[in-house]
Amino acid sequence: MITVNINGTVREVDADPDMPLLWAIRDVLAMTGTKFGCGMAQCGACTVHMDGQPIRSCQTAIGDVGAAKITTIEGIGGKVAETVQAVWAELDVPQCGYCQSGQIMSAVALLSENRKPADGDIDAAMSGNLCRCATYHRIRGAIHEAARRLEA
Amino acid sequence: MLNIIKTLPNPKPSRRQFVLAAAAIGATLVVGFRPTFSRAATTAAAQPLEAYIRIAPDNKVTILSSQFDMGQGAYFGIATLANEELDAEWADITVEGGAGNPAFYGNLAFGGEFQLTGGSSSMTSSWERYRKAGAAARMMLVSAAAAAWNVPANEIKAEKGKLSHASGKSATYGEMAGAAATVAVPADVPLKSKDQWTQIGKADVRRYDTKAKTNGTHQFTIDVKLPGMKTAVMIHPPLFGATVKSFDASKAKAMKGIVDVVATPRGVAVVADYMWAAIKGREVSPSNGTTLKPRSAVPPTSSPSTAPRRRSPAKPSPATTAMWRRPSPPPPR
Repeated sequence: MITVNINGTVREVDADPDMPLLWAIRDVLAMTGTKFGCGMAQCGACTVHMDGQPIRSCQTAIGDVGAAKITTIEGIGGKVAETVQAVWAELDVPQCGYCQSGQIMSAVALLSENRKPADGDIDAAMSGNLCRCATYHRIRGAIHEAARRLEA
Repeated sequence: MLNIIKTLPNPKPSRRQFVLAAAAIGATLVVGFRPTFSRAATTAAAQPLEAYIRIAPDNKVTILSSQFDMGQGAYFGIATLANEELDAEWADITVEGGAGNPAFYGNLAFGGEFQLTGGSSSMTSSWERYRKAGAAARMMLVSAAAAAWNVPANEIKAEKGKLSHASGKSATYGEMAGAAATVAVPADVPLKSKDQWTQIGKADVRRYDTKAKTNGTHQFTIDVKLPGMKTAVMIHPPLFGATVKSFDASKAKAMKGIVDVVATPRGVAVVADYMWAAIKGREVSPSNGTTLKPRSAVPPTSSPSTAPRRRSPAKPSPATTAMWRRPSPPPPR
């Protein structure tokens, strides 16, 4: 049994320590909002927060999580996350939506650290999150809009 | 879900009627417009409340989409077509995949004889029939209300999921759905003209599935869990068209979570209780000419992630080894 702090709750996970956090979240803890894309940290679909930092859960072994606090799309909350999610819906950012949990996790992490990101900051923070529907321009617009609202 | 579709009463277009309709399509193939459709609708005795649209007593409206939605928005587009004429509340609308009966769900842009999603045809194929289904359902609801209230049908308003009359009588679509299902399907179903549209092409009609796609609750195929469900991953051959000559899965089969390893016409399937077990069971290494590389041997990521790398041995011991038979050469011309 491995103990992890996930979405504010301490959970016992029955898994080998080398199981990627992604599969512990999806298959063992049955939370499917975090997506499997490439399985090799190339696409960002599996992004979750570890102590507030965006990480690729497909490349993070459950045995390496330790006492770090994990947050998934199901568990994000607070002003930044709520603003990002509201703007995401208002601007109809998702098309198919498969990558969007990861996009939102990266965007929330960015805005939590940088309340007024420039285009270059957004590109740098979001470049690890691919979107095959190519919603990038709406993602960038939504991050700017969320920043405006958070400033207000 | 498909099991819901299977519980629908079969609309039963007779074999003969269906053949006639299909033949007529073949003779008059006009993309997106199927003159025989109105015939199909009526011969289907059509129960449009069942075939394309289902209105439950609790006012929930289910639109059965002939088209598969893989993110392109076909469900929302088709729901918009149906609801333009039906005028239910969007909050009450859900869309499910309709399957199994080409008489209803065949792709009209490709002749209508089989169900197909592709070629940017979802809207052209659906354009008329889903609006007609919505309009027919609405007409039947109005007829049922007119009979129940003993007032002329043209005095009844039907909007936002509600039927009402100046006398003060009103009912939700759901409340009138049972009675409407017994009304004869109208032979002539007039559609709104373009200037009457309130939903098609209107920016304030928003995709109904966006919120679920921003909070992780939208269900994709990979998210479906069924009781006893197993997960399989494939070991694909190194060459297109190559087939399995032999494989050794003794190590994989001894691993935790592995259910079985089986040959298929297109490679070797590793079946497990959960994904990580299947992925580990798939790890293969070159052996006796096998050219597959271990899945874990990926180049270091250029991602800005600071994530600790997954622990994996530098050279995973092979769980499954496979030998391949070269693809057959193409026949001489």
